[in-house]
Amino acid sequence: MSWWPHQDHWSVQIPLHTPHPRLAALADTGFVQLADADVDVPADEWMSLEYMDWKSGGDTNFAPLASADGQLDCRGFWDKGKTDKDALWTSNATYTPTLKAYVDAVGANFGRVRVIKLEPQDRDSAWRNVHRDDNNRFNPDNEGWVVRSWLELTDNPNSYMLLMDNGPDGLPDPATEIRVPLHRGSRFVVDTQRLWHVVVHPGTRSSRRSKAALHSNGGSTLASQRESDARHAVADQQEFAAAAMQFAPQLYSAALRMTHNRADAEDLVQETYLRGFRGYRNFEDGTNLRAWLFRILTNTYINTYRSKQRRVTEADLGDVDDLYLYKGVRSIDPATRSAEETLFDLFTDDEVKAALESLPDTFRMPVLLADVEGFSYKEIAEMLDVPIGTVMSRLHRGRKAMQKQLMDFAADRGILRSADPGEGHADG
Amino acid sequence: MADCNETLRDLETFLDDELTDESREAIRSHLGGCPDCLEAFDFHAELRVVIAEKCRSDEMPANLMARIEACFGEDLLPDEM
Repeated sequence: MSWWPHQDHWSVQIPLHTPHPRLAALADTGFVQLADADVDVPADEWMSLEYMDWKSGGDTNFAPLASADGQLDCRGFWDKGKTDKDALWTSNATYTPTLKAYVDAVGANFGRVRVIKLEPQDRDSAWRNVHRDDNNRFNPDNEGWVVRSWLELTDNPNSYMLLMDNGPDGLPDPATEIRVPLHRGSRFVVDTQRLWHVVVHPGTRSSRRSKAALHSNGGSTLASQRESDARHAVADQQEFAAAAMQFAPQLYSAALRMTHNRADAEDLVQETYLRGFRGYRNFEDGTNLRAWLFRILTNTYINTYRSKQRRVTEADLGDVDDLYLYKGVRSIDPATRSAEETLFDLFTDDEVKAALESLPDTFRMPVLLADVEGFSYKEIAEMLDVPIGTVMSRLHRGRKAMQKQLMDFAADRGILRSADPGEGHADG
Repeated sequence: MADCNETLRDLETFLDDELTDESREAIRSHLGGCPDCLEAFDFHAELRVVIAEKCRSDEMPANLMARIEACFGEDLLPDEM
């Protein structure tokens, strides 16, 4: 698996060590396989449910059986100031009395319960979605640690849930990998806040699986202080969202320059906002929100895409004179260039974009951040995690290479002669 | 006063607004008396504007804002698998 989560993955921020009482059975591996379920859930029960579209990618659909307020809503509990407990049955539950009875029979305080329909994905694609859950957000310290359980409804002998515990760096440790089989009736309990997890489902299309997220421990009503803290956090988060949205067009353009294609750019921007939204507490009020978002964008891009690319050094860039383009444009034959034609009209949007995009990442990122987005050397150095001197030298080389590319475009169109290096005025 | 070579060497840093006050003033005073250097500076300043405008002209897909806003309302990312 070439992609691997990085330190700035949002899951890393989710707490691992808290005072909550926990199940001894989960202490060792964070996972317990139960005996296969002997319940037979008739297919027409889960087929008749109302499935909701759910964010990133069209791979997963959820049919909520129990939610924070009984609405058919995939959203969790946290934006309503609740921890993931004390759920209410939705209208879907009436169509699947077997599952409802199964959940009730566990006898635990449960939060979200939903049937998940997962489209097939290969292991590498699935792995990119690996994460840990924030199950215990707002959960009072003296109440039981919230975990999740799964009941497989369909038979998928080739599919499994991939679990990994944390290494010392807080990232998934391959040495701890567990594969939980997903044959019909497979049942297990997972501490999904502790373990990184994702389902690998290469199987047949339209299989359906159910996961009932149950609490291992009795819950109670939230302490009122917790409740108001939660509401306050939600208000902040909404404020943050409102302030951050104005930068979406800039982030999208920058993402396009980075990824070269719309689908990846859209995903990159969405991921940037998700990370920003999740990490907004790390954003210090009064600092530059735009710079902060671009930093997330840049890091997300680098961590997600750059591993595919060979490292490029300055030696790989062709070198031209500092005033290469300037001299070239000055050399334009007046007969082919009308007096009022400006530099703006000389190059098309597509040419300028292509010239920037032609630069290797190492040089493109500083040029994009400085010349398009107007960030300072210091801000760029922080975003790219390199010294300021490196930013300056990459900018210099990147700008020249970009100018060379622009010159080539103009030459291709027959507008420019090639620049005469001896023509500049600045030789003495 | 800085000569043409020194002035042109600082062209990028000047346009990046990263020079010390002293260096910036030295450049300004040279440009005041050197139309050749001034023309080169003008060209690169204009080029910056052209690059910035043309590289930010992409139209955002109509559904992207909605996609992002939908995420804000939800609390887990790829969630639940």
